[in-house]
Amino acid sequence: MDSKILSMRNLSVAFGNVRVTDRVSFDISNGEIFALMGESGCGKSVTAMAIPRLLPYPSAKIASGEIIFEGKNLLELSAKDMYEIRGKRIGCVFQEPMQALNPVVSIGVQLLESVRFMPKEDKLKRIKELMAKAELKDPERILKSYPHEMSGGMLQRIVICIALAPKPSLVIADEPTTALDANIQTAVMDTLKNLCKSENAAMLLITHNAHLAAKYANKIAVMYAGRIAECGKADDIFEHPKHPYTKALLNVVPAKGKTLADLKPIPGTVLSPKDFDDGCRFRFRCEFAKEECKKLGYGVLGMGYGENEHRSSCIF
Amino acid sequence: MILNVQNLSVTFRSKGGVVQPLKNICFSLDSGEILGLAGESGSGKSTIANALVGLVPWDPGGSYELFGEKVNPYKKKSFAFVRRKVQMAFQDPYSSLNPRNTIFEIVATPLLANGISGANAAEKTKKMLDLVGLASADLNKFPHAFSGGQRQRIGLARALVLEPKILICDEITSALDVSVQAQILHLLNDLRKELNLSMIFISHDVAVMEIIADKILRLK
Repeated sequence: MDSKILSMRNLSVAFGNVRVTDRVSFDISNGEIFALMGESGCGKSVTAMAIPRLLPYPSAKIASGEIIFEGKNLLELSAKDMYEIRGKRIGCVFQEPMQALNPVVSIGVQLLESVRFMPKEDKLKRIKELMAKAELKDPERILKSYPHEMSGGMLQRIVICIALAPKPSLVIADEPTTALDANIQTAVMDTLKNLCKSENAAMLLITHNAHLAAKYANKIAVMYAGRIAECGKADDIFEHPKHPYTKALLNVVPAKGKTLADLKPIPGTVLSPKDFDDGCRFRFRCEFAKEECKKLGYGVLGMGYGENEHRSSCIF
Repeated sequence: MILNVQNLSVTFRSKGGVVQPLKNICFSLDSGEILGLAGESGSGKSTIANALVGLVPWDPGGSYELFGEKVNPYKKKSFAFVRRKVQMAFQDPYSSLNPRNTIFEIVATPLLANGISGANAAEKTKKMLDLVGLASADLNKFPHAFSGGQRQRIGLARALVLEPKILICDEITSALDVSVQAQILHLLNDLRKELNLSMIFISHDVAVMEIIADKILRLK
């Protein structure tokens, strides 16, 4: 049986003439947590937002590729068919809960909106069931409240409930805890993970935080400058990184027991999308870079096609 | 000991009620030392920083000593002395630089405010930008032309151009990517050696704190 719910194949997104992501491919299986990890500007959010077709129109264009979700290519669907999938089959949790919710509408109305297609008698039951699972106590009071009366952590839990209420099979969580306090990040991530598990939804987790990816993800794709540099099971990536970029990235993550000398900054800066070419994009900052890196064909590696295989786009 | 604070308390009063984020805080700083202030949001880390440079009023009963001199924290004027010795760098590299001023104007402003102008100011500004790793060709650019890490370097140059002895870093790496964070942490360490700086480093990230700080004050 095919357990894949999402297959992205060679997806390139272009803004004008600039391709900000280049032939990104990966698969997400039923119920797993898949993390896209990388620094700002590497194309993680653009890749993720292409799935529910939430990229700015008309500036962003899909230059190549397909996104197969539950057997359908999302890029070919009409706006009306997409309406049936976005929200219902694919839920989204964004970075800023305060901006994701409408400030002048009560929490209850916003929660019920997410289940508007359900039979009337089930709606409230479903919402309360989710709120209980998300550890939101005193639901009656919360339903009557407005977003400004809640803390960031509670709001994010509410957004998580909204995303999961229609029973989606995939939840896209774009930096879900970045805007929250360090001490409640784990609690909110735990809620998100447990809810996805009990609702049997897979999660695409977008994060720049290696600790978070290590703790929650089953599989990880590390992105650099619009391409997947390395992908594989989380343990493989963290214990045996293959790509020089992944190694360099893991070297700069502060952790207990490390000293300043252990943090080795990566020389240079991230390549601007204007300067993208066909060669390896990390070669300007890579200590192993050789002449052949200039003409490295990226597609040859067929990134992401192997189910659980650990692959790196580096030729070494 | 170059800085000694005893019984620092701060109370905020508003229509909603009274909150006291700081109650009888005591700490000291030795020359060349990095003191870390750790704690969750709302634990009062930034309030300590603001109190040290006179941006929030102190409650009665506190005492403040800087380089052996008593500072009267209840008189606004006495902080003019403090600010020549103690400077601050801020968290958000996007909102802490005036978008309408060039980098030269931003970094030279503290000098002009302290009566240093002309060629002398220009030379000091260039030297400082060089020290934080920016090119002198960047002098006439505006903040939007720089990345987050570069903006943080500009903020550090502005704080250091008056040659303070103590630098307060308020979450200066929180808005940066991990790879850029590592660069800034190394820069801070280099600056500390080069300029014989002492620092108060505020962060909610325990791992970062343990890497950079000599001693840590944890707030609850």
